[in-house]
Order: sequence, then C-alpha cells, then structure tokens
Amino acid sequence: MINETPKPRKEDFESRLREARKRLEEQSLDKPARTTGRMGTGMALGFRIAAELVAAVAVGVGIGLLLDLWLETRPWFLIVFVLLGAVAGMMNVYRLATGQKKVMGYDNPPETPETDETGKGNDREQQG
Amino acid sequence: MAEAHNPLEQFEIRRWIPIEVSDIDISFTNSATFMVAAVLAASALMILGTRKRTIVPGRWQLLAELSYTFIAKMLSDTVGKEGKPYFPFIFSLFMFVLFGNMLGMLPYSFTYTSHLAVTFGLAAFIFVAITLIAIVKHRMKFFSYFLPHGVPIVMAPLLIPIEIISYLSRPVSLSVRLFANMMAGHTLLKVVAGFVIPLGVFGAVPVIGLIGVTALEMLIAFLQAYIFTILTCIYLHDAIHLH
Repeated sequence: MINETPKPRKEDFESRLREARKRLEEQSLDKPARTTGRMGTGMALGFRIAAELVAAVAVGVGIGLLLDLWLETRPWFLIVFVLLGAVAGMMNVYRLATGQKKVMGYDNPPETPETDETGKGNDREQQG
Repeated sequence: MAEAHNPLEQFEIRRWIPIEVSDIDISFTNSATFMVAAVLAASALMILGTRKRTIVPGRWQLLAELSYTFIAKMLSDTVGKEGKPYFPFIFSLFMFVLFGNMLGMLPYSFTYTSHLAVTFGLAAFIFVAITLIAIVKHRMKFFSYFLPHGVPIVMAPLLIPIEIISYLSRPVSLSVRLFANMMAGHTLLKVVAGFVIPLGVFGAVPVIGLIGVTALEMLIAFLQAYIFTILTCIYLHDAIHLH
C-alpha cells in the first residue's frame, strides 16, 4: 500500500521522521508503559516474591554450613545464618512489595539531588 | 499397566555423542542438542525474518521486529539510556531462555531450562558480570551498597550480613524460579497425561484439563523468560546507578 503512493520528497520525509522520533522519545520519558498485560505482571510479581523468600533462606543455610565446616563450630553458624537468611528474605519481599527501589534498595541519600533520573525511577517503581 | 511412565524420566540427560577430555565429561547431550536448536531457531527467526525488510512487515518480520522492540523497551524502561551497550546480551539471553522454554513445549523434546545446572549457570554468569560492572563503575563506593544510608553504626554488624545474604540470594532466586517453574510444569503435564489411558472413557476429563494446563504452560514459558530478563535488567540498573 505504502509503496504505491507517490514518493514524498526526501527532506520532507527526513524532517517528519525527526519529529516522530522526538515525539516518541518524549512519550516514553513521560510514562514508560508496561508491555505485558496486568495479569502477566501480577503473576510475574507473585513468582518473584515466592522465589525471593526461599532463595535468601537457602543462601543463609549455605553460608552457615560452609562456615561451620570451616571453623568446626557446628551448629552455631548454621543457626545464626538461617535466621539471618529468613530476615533477608522477608526484607527482600518487603522491599519488593513496597516498591522501594526494586530488590535491594534504600531511601536515596539526602545529598543526592533530585534529578529527572530519579523522578523517572520513582514512576517506574509504582508500576513494577 | 504394562509400562510405568516415570514423570521425571523426561528430565534425564542422555549422552548422544560421548566426548571425554582428560577425565572431564563434555559429551554432547540431548540438553546440548536443544541448546543448539534454540540458538539456531532464534538466529533463523532474526536473520530470515529481517531479510526482506519491507516497510509493511510480513508475519516473520513482524515477529522479529516485535521481539526486538519488546526487549529494547524493557531495557530502556528499567535501565535507561546507559543500558544500551548491554542490549545484545539481554536480547540473546531472552531469546535463549524463551526458545528453551518454548522448544520444551514440543512433544518428545527436552527442556534445558528445567535443569538447575543450566539456569544457575546463566544466573551465576549474570551475577558475576553485574557485580564486576558495579565495581568497575563505582570502585569502593560499591561496598557502601551493603550498609543502608543513615543506619546507626550499632546496627551494622547485624545489617551487613543480612544485606550480603540478600545480595547473594539474587542468582539463587533467579535460577531457582526458572528451573522450578519449568520442571514443575512439565512434571504436572506428564502426571496428568498419565491418567488419560488408564481411565478409559473418563480419560476425556484429564484431556480437557491437559488442554488448559498446556495453555498455562505456554504462558508460563513466556512469562518466566520475561521475568528472567527483566530481573537481569533491574540488577543491571542497580549496578549502574547504585541505590
């Protein structure tokens, strides 16, 4: 269809292309749209939370066992690190749920100036 | 039942071309075959799909363009402009995982993403690479990552191990999620399918269930590839911007 229309002049096309690109960029900066549907993102979030809980405990067990093997203090490090792992898992989930800077994150340090960069980030987290 | 079908049999690794280099087994297995198949299929889609380059894309070109835009958008949404150099890696990663999941949906095929060794291999590589990127970009400032800003120093001995565990749990959760989902889904399919013949006429019930589960598995195959990729993007964002 497009091929059959009379050929527009080249400069004309270039300028229109530039404009379109600029428009697109502005749009994507304004509101980064999620490409998947609501159900997709909901399920994605669910899977993330489930795995996050288990993984941290698993890492805690791993570190605890290794330290115990190395220092021959069984079972003390295991006990401590299972608890720490559970705490880390909960914390990960809490951060995920509250949308605080994705997975690992803290409040921004106060000296960081509020650039558009961080503003953009905040927008994103509400959707994530 | 004459032959008992083990629902876990499908995950067995079989050596197709045994190769051994100084006691290390690097045989070409069914897993490796499907990895090669996934890479070839993904390359074919991109190369053949974009060969014609018409203004109004055909089906294949549209598919290739859609997958490109999908990842490009995901990357710019999560990482921002700084993420551009990493696009080829993220895109390959997505295609590799997606094709692994999707090829696994074909009957008699092997799903390499249902093996923890494969998914953890990917996740560990990503984890090491992203940690290196963060260290190169931020030098010593990277280690401030493990102590939240404004925390009383008394809390540090407790919080630093928690933060380190939280950081180390990333590759674990990344790989376990993909592997567990694929493995559970395929086992479920096989178990439900095992009911069809023994139930005789009533076998129609599990067949209807199977149709639903297959559709769900298709969704999960795509979704898990999506999650795997977007989490990589998010980790990359954390590494580049720190906090």
